Amino acid sequence: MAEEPAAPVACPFCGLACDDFFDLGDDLDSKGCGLAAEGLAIPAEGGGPRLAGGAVALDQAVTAAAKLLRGSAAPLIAGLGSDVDGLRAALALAERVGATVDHLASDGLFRNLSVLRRKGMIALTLGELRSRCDLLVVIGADPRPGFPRFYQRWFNASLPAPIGGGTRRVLFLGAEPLPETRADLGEIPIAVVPGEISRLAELALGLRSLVAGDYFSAGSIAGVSRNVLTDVAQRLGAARFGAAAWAAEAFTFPHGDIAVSALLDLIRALNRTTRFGAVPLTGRDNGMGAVQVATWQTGYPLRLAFEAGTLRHDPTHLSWRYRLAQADLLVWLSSFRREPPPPFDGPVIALTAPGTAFAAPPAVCIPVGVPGLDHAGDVFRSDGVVALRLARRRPSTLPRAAEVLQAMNEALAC
Amino acid sequence: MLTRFTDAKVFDPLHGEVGQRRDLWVADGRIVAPPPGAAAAETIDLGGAVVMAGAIDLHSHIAGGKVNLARLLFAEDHEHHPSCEPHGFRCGGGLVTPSTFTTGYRYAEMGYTVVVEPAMLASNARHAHLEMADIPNIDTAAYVVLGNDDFLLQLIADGAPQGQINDAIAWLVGASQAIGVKVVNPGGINAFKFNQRRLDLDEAGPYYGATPRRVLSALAQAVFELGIPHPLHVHGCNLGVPGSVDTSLATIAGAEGRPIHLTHLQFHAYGTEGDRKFSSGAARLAEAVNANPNISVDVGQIIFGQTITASGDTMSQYRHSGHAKPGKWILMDIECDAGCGVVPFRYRDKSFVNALQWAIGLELLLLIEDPWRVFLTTDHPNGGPFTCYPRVIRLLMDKDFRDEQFADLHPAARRASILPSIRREYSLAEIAVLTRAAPARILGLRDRGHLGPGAAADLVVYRDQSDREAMFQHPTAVYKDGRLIARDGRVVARVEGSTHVVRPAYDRGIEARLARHFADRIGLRAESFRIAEGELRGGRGAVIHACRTSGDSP
Repeated sequence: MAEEPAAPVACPFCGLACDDFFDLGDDLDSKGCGLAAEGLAIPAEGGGPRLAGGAVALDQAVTAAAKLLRGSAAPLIAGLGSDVDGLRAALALAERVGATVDHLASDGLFRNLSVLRRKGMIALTLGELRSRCDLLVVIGADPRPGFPRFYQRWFNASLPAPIGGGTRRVLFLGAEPLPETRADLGEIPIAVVPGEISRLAELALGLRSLVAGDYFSAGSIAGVSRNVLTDVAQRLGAARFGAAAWAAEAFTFPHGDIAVSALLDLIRALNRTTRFGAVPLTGRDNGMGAVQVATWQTGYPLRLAFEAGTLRHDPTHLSWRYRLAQADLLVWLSSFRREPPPPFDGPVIALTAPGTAFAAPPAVCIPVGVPGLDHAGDVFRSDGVVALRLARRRPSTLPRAAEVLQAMNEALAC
Repeated sequence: MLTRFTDAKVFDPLHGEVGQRRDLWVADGRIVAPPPGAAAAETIDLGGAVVMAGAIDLHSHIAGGKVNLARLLFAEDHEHHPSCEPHGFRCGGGLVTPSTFTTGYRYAEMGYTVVVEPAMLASNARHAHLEMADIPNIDTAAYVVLGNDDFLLQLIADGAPQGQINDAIAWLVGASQAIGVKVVNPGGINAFKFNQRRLDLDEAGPYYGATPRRVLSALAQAVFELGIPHPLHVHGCNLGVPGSVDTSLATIAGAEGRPIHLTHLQFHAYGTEGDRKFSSGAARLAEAVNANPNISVDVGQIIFGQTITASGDTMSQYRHSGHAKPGKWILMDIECDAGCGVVPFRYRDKSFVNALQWAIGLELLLLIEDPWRVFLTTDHPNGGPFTCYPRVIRLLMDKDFRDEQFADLHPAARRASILPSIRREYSLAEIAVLTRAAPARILGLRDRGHLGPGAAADLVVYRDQSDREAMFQHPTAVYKDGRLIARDGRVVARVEGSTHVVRPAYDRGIEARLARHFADRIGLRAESFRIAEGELRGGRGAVIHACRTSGDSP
């Protein structure tokens, strides 16, 4: 076994994977980030594995889980909050037992992925946003609550000037920024264009028409007047390297994916004369890692089922929420947060961060280590390009989710 | 354990063996000299079957961000090509964007045991390595893509001494765990971020003011001076553009004797002659390659049918996005480092341009005389899937088959190609050079690509058939490090591969400037970016290959 790196430093508690939280030898410090503080508060002890609430040894819990898995006709492996090794082990187990696999936060992921699959995407990474972008357009609700240090780290007045010069500006389309966001941005000029965000698709297509110089007759769209829309279109077109950021998890209005599709049309039109790209903000609980690992191992980005040695993907009918009603066994994996399993009519095998509060004791409960606190591991950032190495930060006896899942797999091989 | 393979018909060009019949001895995954007096624990009679070392693919997009984006974009490929393996081998699928397990199995079944991912972005390197660790049965390596990153372009713009450029490149190669360096459209991907849509070899790029020629020369010199065995891997300017042959010829001249490798040269070999202003530049290029021993090339042969193109060359991919079939495509600007573009495409033999592209690839393979300096690739998946290599081998070895295939092409393309006049047929010995000995040599893999004592026991056993496609599609047996992994073209075992890297030395003085760049521009620490040895292959680490020191000849 070769040596581990000296100072890997990333935080796994949102899709930004900040790497400036920890210094070697320092205490853990959340730097004012609520999500990091919540993650860092997860205890290092979980009271050990339990069967229907009664304490057992790990190997007994694994044996009991294997028995349930062997007897299941339609298992569902969901939650799927884990590092790359945990995801690999979950997929291997899913293939062994013929399970459906999906991630807790896949609704938001699939609003973007369904468009990517139908039409494609034009995107840029957080580093490009930080160092090249002169116009950031934030679409819909301010994403700061889910990505607390988004502006602090990737777009604000205190960063070095964009490469090639230019002045940073920000435009909030559809909703007001939070007061904390205004503070994060500093001296950056802020424009706000409120509108009916549930009609985002219309708004984006109207802007696309104006940008492309197409015939446009509407007096207003989604509560935004023609004059304001014309002004926004001109600002977009005047950007040298623009970015449109959105958190599709918040697009809960009907057909949120159509809004993403319309945004892509707008971005494509802008690229005829300038450069512009999307910054889809996503990936909590390593959801982007789950998409990546599932895609490289199977060709499909989650919502997939192993059935009798074959693979099936269905972005609608294999979502975990949909499958809850059909599954006869739920394996719930949440190693970054104390997220209890959803109400489920059947036995539950829970691999969760220590201290998770359950409505009812799961059939099998195995507290697992938190990647980045209790053990090393890899997670993907929201942009899907950058993967970061997490380090073990504290003494811990908690098993890794990957080990537990592998042990179940091996128990089933006997 | 000592294993004796008796009566092998050995093709080992490195040792001058062209069909000699002899025994081969293997111990602990290595070829050994016949041990005097020792008894083999196992004896396998090959009955005069052809034996070659494991094949090596030095350019195939098998892992990393753009490959995974291609899988996401083109899910139809997985729906149409499911792959159910024998129990315990993990399923998968895909023909032009195969999943990781499928990739390893299909390569192994054709007798390939080492494959190089040619376009690993430094910022995406951890992903690429995590993914390569999930490819079974073959060894992997990767070239790191440099020369469009704002760090090196700023160094060049500042007039930094070559030594500093060398140090930065050595750091990046080590930090990303690469085996070589590739440049893609030198400066062009960066220029596209400044909204420039084309950049010619001698045109100054925006902001940094560096010409592609200057970027190429700085990188080629660095790779040479650092002693990295594989010369700079060059994806040139003007990919796919009629007239690109002139750029390629100028690039060869501009190398001024420095070793460079021109990749998927077919896509850069187009002239502007004829009614359609699209012609073959293969003969002119082959002449230049033949005359310049510092130049090596791989071809990027196209295969008719549906595929998907995945490239770091955002400038070219955006230009070609209108040809997407089906009509969807991805473009991404990445981390002040590079970019990627993914565009599905269908090559048709009834299209004049596609038919001529097909002929140009073969013209290059047949007109370049030295099989040690030309390599068989389809630039998988950009020209077509790697599973078509046996067909291309047959096209090279069998003039009648070539003529038959040629007869189906678009008539105007047939009139525009000299292919029928080329009589050359590759011999088995030349195929062994093309697919084994030469790629091992140019990558610096001293224990691969040959069958001498000390070599890895990657052995491929073929039944000598006149249908060379069938012969190379389904070897009768494939051994990886001495272990049988495929029989009669089907995988029979799943083994872990290794990752191959080089570690050029550098002056750590460069680290302060790199740290500043990461802190200011990338928003990450340089240390977060650096991949530790222990991260590779689930903690097993890498196989490290030596760089040349000043006394060695290149």
